[in-house]
Amino acid sequence: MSVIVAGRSLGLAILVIVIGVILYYLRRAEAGRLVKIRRLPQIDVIDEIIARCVEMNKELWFLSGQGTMTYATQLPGILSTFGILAYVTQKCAEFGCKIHHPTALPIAYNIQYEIMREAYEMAGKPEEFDPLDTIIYVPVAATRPYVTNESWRRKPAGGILTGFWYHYTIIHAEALQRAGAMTLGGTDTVHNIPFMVAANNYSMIGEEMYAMSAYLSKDPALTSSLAGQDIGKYIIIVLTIIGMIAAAAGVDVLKWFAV
Amino acid sequence: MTIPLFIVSVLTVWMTVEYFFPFLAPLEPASHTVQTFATILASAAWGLGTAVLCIAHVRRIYTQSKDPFWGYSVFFLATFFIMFLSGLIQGTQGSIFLWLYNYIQAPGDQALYSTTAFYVTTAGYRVFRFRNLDATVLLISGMFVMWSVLPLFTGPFPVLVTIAKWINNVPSVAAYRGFVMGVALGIIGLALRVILHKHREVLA
Repeated sequence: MSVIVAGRSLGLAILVIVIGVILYYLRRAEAGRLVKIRRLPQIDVIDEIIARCVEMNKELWFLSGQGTMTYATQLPGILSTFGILAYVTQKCAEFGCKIHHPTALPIAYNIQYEIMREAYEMAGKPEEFDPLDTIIYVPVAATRPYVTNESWRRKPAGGILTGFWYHYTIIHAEALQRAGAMTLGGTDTVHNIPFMVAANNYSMIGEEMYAMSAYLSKDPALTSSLAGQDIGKYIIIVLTIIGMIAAAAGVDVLKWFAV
Repeated sequence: MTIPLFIVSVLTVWMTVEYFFPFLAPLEPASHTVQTFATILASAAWGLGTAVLCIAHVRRIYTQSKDPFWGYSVFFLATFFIMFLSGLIQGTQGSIFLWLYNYIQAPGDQALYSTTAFYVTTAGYRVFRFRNLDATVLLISGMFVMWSVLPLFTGPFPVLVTIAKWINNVPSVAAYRGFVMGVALGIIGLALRVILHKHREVLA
C-alpha cells in the first residue's frame, strides 16, 4: 500500500506549500506587519451607490445569494459577504440610508442579523435597526417573487449582490435594474459570473469578492490568507507554463502531473 | 466556543488527511456519517428562519394600517400552516402534501424559473452593445456562439460551428479553469482559518 493515494502527490505538495505560506503571513500579521491589499475600485462603487440612495432618499438592497454554510464549496462565498455587509450597513447607518436585506441563508441569517445590528450600534443609531425589515429571512424558492415584486414596489436606488448564487442571479439583478437601481454584483460561482457581469452596472469576479471582504474587514487572518492564496496562484501559473512547454515538446504531461 | 471549534478543527484535518493518505480508508464510512450529521444540523437552521419569517408576517397583519399589502401576509400564513400541518400529520408522502406540492408549488416554481429566459434576453439586449473593446469582443463572441446553434446560419455557413466550438473549448475553458483554481485556493485559505480558530463566524 502506498503512503499517499495515487495521483494526489502533486496536489498534496501544493497544499502543503500554500498552507506554509499562509502560516508565514499569519505570523507576520501577528507580529504587526500586515499585508497591504490595494484598494479595489469596487469600494468606490459601493460608496457611490450609497450616495445615490441617500440623494434619492430610497433604499439600498443587499442580496447575499443562496446556498448553505454546510457545503465547503459554498462557504467561502457566503462568508465573504459578511465583511462587505458590515461595511455597507455601517455606511448606510452613518449616512441615513435605509438598507433592506432579504436573506435566503437560514444559518447565515443569525450572523448577518448580528452584523447589521452591531453596525447600527457602531454608527450610534441602534433605533433605526428594524429587526423585521432591515433583515428578513425569505425562503430560497420565495426569493424570486419577493425580489421581483418588492423591488418593483419599493423601487430601491441601489443594489449589492454578493455571495454564492444559483440561477436566481439574472432574475434578481434584472429585477433591481428594472426598478431603477444601480447595482454591484459579485459571485464565486463560475456559471453565474457571466450573468453578474451582464446584468449589473459593476461587478466583482470571484476572488475580488474575497479581497473586498478582507480589505473592508481589515482582519489580519483574511489578509494573510489572501496573500498565501496569491502565492498559490503564482505556483499554478509556473506549473501551467511548464506544462504548456512540455506538452508542446511532445512530453506526456499528464503522466507527470498525475504522480 | 472551545469545544465546537475543537470538533470543527479535528474533523477538518481528518477529512483532509483521509483524502490524501490511504491508511485512513477504514474510517471512510464514518466520514460519510459525519457529512450526514452536518446535513441534519443544517436543517435545524431552517426552523429558526421560518419562525422569524412568520413573526414578520404576523407583524404586518397586526400593523395593517402601515402596509397596504398586509392581505398577502394572511395568504402566506394560511398556506404555510396548511402545508405544515399536512406534512406533519400525513408526512411528506401524504396525499394532501403531495397534491399541494405537485399542483401548486412545483408549477409555480417552474413558471418563475421560466422567466429566466426573458430576463436573460433583456440583460443581453442591454449588454451586447458596441460600447468599448471589451463589450465588442463579448458581442462578437456571443453572436458566434448563438448563431452556431441556429440551422438558419449553420446551414449556409457551417464554419460558425467550428468557431463557436473553439470559443467554448479554448478561451472559455481557460478562464473557467483559472477561476476555479482561484476559488479552490480560497477554500484552502478558509479551511486553514477554521482549523486555526481564526474564523469563528462559521459557528454562527
